[in-house]
Amino acid sequence: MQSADSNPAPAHPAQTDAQRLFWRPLPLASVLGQSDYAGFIVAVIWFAINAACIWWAIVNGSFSWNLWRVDLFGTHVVFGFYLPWSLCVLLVMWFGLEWAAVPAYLATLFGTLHTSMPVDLAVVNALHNPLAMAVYFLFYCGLRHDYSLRSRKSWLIFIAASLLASIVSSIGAFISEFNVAVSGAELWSNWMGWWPNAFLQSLLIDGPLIYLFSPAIERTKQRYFRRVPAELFSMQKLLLAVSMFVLCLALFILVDDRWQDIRAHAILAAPLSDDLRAQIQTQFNVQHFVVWVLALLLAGTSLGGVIVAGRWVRRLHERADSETREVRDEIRRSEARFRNFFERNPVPMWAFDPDTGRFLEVNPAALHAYGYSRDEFLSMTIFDIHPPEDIKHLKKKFKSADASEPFRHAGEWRHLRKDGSLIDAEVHVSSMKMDGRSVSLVLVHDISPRKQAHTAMEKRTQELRILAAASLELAGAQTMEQVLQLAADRARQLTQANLAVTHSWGQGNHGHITWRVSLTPQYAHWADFRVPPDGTGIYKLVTQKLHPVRLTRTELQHHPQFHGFGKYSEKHPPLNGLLAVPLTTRDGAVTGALMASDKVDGEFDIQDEVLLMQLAQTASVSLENVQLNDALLRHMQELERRVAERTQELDISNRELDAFAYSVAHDLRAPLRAMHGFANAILEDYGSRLDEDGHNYLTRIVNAARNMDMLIQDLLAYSRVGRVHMVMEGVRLDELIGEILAELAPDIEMRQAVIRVDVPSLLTQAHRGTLKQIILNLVSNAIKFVAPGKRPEVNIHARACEGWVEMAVSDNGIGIAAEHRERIFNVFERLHGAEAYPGTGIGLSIVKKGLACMHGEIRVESGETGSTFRLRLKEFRHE
Amino acid sequence: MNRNGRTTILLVEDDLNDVMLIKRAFSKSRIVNPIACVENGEDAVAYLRGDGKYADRRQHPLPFMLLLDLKLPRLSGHEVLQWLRGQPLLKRLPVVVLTSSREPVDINRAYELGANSYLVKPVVFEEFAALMRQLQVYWLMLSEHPDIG
Repeated sequence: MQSADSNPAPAHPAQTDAQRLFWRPLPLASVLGQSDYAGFIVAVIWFAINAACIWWAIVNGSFSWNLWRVDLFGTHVVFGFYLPWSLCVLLVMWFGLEWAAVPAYLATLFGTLHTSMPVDLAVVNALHNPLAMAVYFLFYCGLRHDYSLRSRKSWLIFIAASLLASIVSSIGAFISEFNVAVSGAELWSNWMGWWPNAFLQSLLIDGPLIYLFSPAIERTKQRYFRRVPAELFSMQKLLLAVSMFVLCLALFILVDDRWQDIRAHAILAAPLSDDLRAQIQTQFNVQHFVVWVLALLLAGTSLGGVIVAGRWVRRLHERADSETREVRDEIRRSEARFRNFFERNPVPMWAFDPDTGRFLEVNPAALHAYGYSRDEFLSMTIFDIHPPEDIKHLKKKFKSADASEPFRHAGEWRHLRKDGSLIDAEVHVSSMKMDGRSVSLVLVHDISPRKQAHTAMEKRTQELRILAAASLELAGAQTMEQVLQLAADRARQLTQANLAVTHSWGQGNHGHITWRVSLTPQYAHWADFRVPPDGTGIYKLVTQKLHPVRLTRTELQHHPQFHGFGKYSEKHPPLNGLLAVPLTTRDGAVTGALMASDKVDGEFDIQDEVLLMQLAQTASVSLENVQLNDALLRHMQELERRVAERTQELDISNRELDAFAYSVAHDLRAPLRAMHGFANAILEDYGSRLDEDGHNYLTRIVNAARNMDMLIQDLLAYSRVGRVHMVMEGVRLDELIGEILAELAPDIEMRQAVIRVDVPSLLTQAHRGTLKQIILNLVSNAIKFVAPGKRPEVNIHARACEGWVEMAVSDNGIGIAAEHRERIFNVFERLHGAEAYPGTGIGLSIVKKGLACMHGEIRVESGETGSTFRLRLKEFRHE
Repeated sequence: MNRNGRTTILLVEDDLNDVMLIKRAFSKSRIVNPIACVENGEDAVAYLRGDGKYADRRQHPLPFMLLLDLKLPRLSGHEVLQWLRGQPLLKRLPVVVLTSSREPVDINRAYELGANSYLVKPVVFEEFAALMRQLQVYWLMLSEHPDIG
């Protein structure tokens, strides 16, 4: 309708449904009975139309409305305007037959009575216009077609209906002839004026009006008379209309008969022969009789038809009713079944109005779950079962909910029960239409247990995480204070307490108490309280027992051993309930305690106790470790201190030794030089005056001095190794050996020694001077310790191996017995007399000491013939 | 001989045994250069400066070479050397350290302070004599001498 309004021009030949107007009559009685202003206004208008029609008919007269007289084919045709006709056509089209029939009938009736027509005739005559209206009714009721006149077909139907109605109406022309004596030609011209007149009036006046106003009228009807069921089709009314026709026909026949009767009397009044009179009389009587029989038959048929058809229709109705009842019963049964599904469903369900949130229906499961009575529940809205803090979110959800979605998961919500407790509910919503209204059906699953289990699991996981973290932290703690603080923090976190304290007094010693506190921000103003737990009062409970102590607030307050905090009570945070576990050593001695107080929510439970015990276990171990660690550290520090002391002492003695060595070098050699020099001087200057013994003695002095000098020099060399700061550098081994051999050249020459060198160009990490001394000693030993008369053969061999330089000096010498192999490296260790193999016995000592100082190694292999000295040093690497 | 005509060797040695042995070694090696002896560092400095009893340069002429022991009373050999190398002209004087010490500390220090040579006194007299001979050949005969006065 809306679109028809916004686009009234039927430009498009294809009509849309919206533009189609079907004939929807309103029952007159129910509209008049409608007690609102719309019904009242319509009734007033209708009565006014009635009055206007009657007034028009009386004022203008049935036959005084002739306007134009036209001669058509020799017939005198009268055209005029009859207001009631047009009004009634509009009424029948827009409202229904009874709306039009009443004014049409009344107008004609009063109009004809006014022109002094006999009442019996007037009553019959007035039927012609209601009958014409009935034609419209039959057309539109029967054909069920659009009457908007916005399509060609609609126009054709309207023209046909109007034509037929006009012709039916024009029957009146014949009846009125009874009243006014008119000639046959006059009657003809009257009739010929009547029906085209009505027809044209329908087309030219009513047609445009219907075209223009029908949509608005239909809209108005829809708006104001929605409650009045519009009767689309009524078999009974159709039958009534048909029987009216038949009845009318019967009446007309009777009227015609009366007319014949008048004419017969007029004829018989004329002077006629008796025969003729009798013949005419008989004829008239027969005709009279036939007409009456026909009329009665028609009337009977009409009435009987109405009765029979009425019964038939009633039976049809009854059958339809019984079928309807069966259907209804079936529906009711099915509804009951479905209602059972709803009512007996163990899942809480309800329906609510998505616009207002008001509950419309609820099942007992929901009532049971939420604790309300049915009436209480239905008097609430869904907002009443949500906690106030969730309402905002709910409203937002409401706004965003897509009603077109038939079924949706509306999420998890917290629902309020009547007693104020909360349920975790998983909500499913189904949107549907019920009696043209949208309804949301809700299914609720109580997921509280699931949720609780989940929460408990999460809590447990969290606790384990805290415990694990605590273990790690405690393992990494360095000091006792750290351990205590960490344990206190974690204890507070684990037990969700406002206050946690750890203290440790060490083993069996209450004198020195170390303690740490952990507080929630709520307790911040106690942050600087410094009241050490003294192990008396309630603390005794913890310290004297090995098991934990758990007291509720009340239990603690009434405990005989709890005496507050004495003079400290001002400074000490209150103890609201207590959970305390001892800290123990591995051997079971109590060394401290871990305490928590004032649980944020409720009282400490066994769970808290177990957790705290686990934490205490870890903390105890950690505490002990820290203490052991401390002891170890102290011990190590002591050792280090001692080592430093000794090193210092050693340094001093080393310096003394240096000074001593220096003295030896300088001071001992001076007298030696004098001894040797002057003994030599005597031998040279006074030799001739001495005998052989004198010579001998002096020679011994000279030799002894020389030997002693060698000894001193070797000793100095030995002491210098390691004492002198050695700068390690890359020493090219092949070059070094070349130098050494050049230095030893006189010896080699003298001994006729064979030296074989197989040394690649290797860099060793060494102190050049020391390494030179070492190799020199080894090679010279190799040349020296050879059996007399044997030619020394020395092999010098070197190679690099895994970061080391390995070198071997082997000879064909006298060898070293296995039992002496370690001793040869000792200072002054000599295996042979000075006569056979002269030397001071210090050479190999220097070798060993020098190598040790350069992080090298030496070992000796020896057989019957020859020894091999293998030494190794780090290979030099550029860094 | 050299162009300055200086032939004296100044021997700084506290050990009289050593002085005798050195002189003997010199005579054995037929070294004819006069040897002036002082017994301590202070005297060595005084001699070189021409102070006090050493003022007479005819009796105590400037040496062409200094034979310096390190371990000396009053002023050590190193100190004498240090002083000497700080003098404007005297610093050119060749100095041969003649000592018993073979300690690297002493050797390095001596060279750092500008010693021209470092010799260790051998115990064996023959070797000592040989050393002195070589000293004479090298410093007295082969080397040219700088101006110092």
